Amino acid sequence: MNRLTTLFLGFFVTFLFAWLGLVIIPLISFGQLEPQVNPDTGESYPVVRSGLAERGKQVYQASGCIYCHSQQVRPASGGSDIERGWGPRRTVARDYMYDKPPLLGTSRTGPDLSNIGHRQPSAKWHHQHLYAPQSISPDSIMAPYRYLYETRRIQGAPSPDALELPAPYAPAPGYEVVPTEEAKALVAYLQSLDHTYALPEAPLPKE
Amino acid sequence: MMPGDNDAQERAEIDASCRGPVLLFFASAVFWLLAGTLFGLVSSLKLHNPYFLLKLPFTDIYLGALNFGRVRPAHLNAVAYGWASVVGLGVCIWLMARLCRVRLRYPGVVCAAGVLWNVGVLSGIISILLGHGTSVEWMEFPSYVTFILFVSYAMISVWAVDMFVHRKPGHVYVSQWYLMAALFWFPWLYGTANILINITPVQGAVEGIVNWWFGHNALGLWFTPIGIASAYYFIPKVIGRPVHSYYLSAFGFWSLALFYSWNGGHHLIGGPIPAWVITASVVASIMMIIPVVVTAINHHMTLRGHFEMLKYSPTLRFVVFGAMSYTLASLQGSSMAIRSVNKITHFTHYTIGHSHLGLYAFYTMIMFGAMYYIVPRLTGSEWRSSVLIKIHFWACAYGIITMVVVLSIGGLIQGFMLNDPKIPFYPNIINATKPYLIGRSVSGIMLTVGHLAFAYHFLLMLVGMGRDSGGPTLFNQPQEENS
Amino acid sequence: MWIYYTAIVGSIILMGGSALYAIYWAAKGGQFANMENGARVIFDAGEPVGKVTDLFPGLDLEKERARKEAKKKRKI
Repeated sequence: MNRLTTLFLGFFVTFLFAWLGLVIIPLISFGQLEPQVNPDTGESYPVVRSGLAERGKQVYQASGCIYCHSQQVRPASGGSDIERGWGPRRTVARDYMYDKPPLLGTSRTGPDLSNIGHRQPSAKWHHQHLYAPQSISPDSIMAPYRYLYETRRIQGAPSPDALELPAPYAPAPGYEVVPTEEAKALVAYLQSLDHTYALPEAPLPKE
Repeated sequence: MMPGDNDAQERAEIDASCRGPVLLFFASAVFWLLAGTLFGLVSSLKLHNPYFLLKLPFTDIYLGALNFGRVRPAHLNAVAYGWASVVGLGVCIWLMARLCRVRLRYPGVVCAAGVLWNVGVLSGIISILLGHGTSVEWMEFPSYVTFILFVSYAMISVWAVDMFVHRKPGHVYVSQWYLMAALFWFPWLYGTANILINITPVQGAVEGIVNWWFGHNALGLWFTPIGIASAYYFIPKVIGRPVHSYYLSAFGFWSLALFYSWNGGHHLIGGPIPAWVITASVVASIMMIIPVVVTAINHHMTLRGHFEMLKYSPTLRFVVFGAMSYTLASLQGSSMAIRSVNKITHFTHYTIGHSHLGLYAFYTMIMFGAMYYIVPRLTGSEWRSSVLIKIHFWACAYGIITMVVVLSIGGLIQGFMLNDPKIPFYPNIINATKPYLIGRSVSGIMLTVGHLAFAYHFLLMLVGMGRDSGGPTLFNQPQEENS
Repeated sequence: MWIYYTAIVGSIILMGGSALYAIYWAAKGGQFANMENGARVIFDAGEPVGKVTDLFPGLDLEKERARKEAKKKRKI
């Protein structure tokens, strides 16, 4: 064999080895998962997100939330995620089967959000927190997502969606801050983040 | 006629054939370095000062494009695909031409490919800022951009491989193995990842593995081989001494090829994937100690007795700084794959410090060194100012050391606090890490200074304001027949 | 399902085996015999072993070294 063929074969085989192991075998062995269906109630887990929440996932992606927030609960042996209250159990592959892409994240500049829908179900809280995180947590370094909100003149009666904001963050008198459709979708997505159901491979701890 | 004249003539002609494409690649790369540095500095400032640059200056308009969530991926992609990949391709073409001792054929095609690559990266960055990023780390560009980059890549790599196929007979040097490998592996990596994540997306957990198999291999099988190829060429070439042990080079290369590609799962330790994937990646990450130590020994023994040259050669300074950082970053990486260490460092700023130790202190510093060697040989003039070179080196060296130190300490504090459930996330952990984030911004300013000095100096070279060497020339112009 | 696993695990074993055979074949065929010559390929008659090929602009290496020697001698 001349040098080029030998080298080429070497590159090919060494790469193929890991490609098969890390890409193809996972694809075959857990790339076609099925949801867990409760035979009595007919409920299926993980829960398929509503259209608004699915749109909200796209807003989450467009806003770069993954760069500060993770969405994976580690097992008790791997960290204190569960003890910290970020979830009753670790997250497993089936929890992400509908997520394309999964928003696992690699950074916890902010807290983990896997179960934020369970921990903080209030839409009002989320809107205020997204608009002005520092109005709820003064030392927070989270970026205010002001561009997802519209400050407009109050026409007739104030909008039911208008945010209630404390003093320095409230708009000028006669104005109100309302969420855009994107903000509403994002909050619907956050409210849908809930993996507190049990799965055979990930049971909930006994009370 | 002196004995070396024919060789000098050949070298000069080979350099001249690469001139257009390589200088174009270098110029684009420096542009993206500056853009990426700006995005990085702005991101860093926003992280401890969330109201910084939230609105368009002098207005009340809040723009999504100014948010951290978009500027931060703009930084990553600008430095990875704009700076690092482009300077790497430029160095790869020049090194391949030199080592194969043949001219680059069809430089016009390679230039066109360079323009196309820039178009792709520019569209990609704008897409990210407008909110069309995919939010898949290292792959935030929308699919149409990756298609453009693929076409450009094909146009470049085919002529690089062509040079190898038509190389002058003789031994194939270690740098050529690394470069050919990188050129072969990258499209396979990028293609698989794009197909399985962006084009025909697979289920979530598998996408996670494919994402990090790609992300890690972009560093390990694309950037690292180009960096090591450069170190194996420039260190011996500058000091005039062959590599210490060629056996070790071969062994280091094949062990890297075998182990590096399995590392990807170490980004998902504790994550929602089967334990066997994680374990395989952890084992491979530890096995990486072998090629890393082998390469370090080889470089050290080659340099032994010649460390004085670090005072006299800019290229050597940058390349050796880079080579030592490679050893440090890799050993640190192997340690971070150990589950008990990972429990603390995962999700923290420590990981960011590590990634900058790899992509900046190792790869970028070596690329700077390579540019300092190559550019005079393409422009036909020497670098103008020792002072600018020294500002560049010390600002970047101190800058990256500061960054890695503050992020490592801050990250460890963050990690230990995160693992103590009695410590509330807010405000304790936030306030404990803020000073280190400010330290990172300070280091970012140092790096910006270094990059501006380098960009200015490089611009001077491009417009023909380099220094004509009065003393012994270290490069030659293609000469007329009768000298 | 099992057929995929057998095929893949089988090919991984085959690849490992052929890698080991390739190393044996290379060693037998003398690929590792004159390796050290390979390290010299980057030098030529014009830039031979021993010649420094990069310096700070305007730096005269001989003068620098002489200057440092003189400085050292003055200190002694």
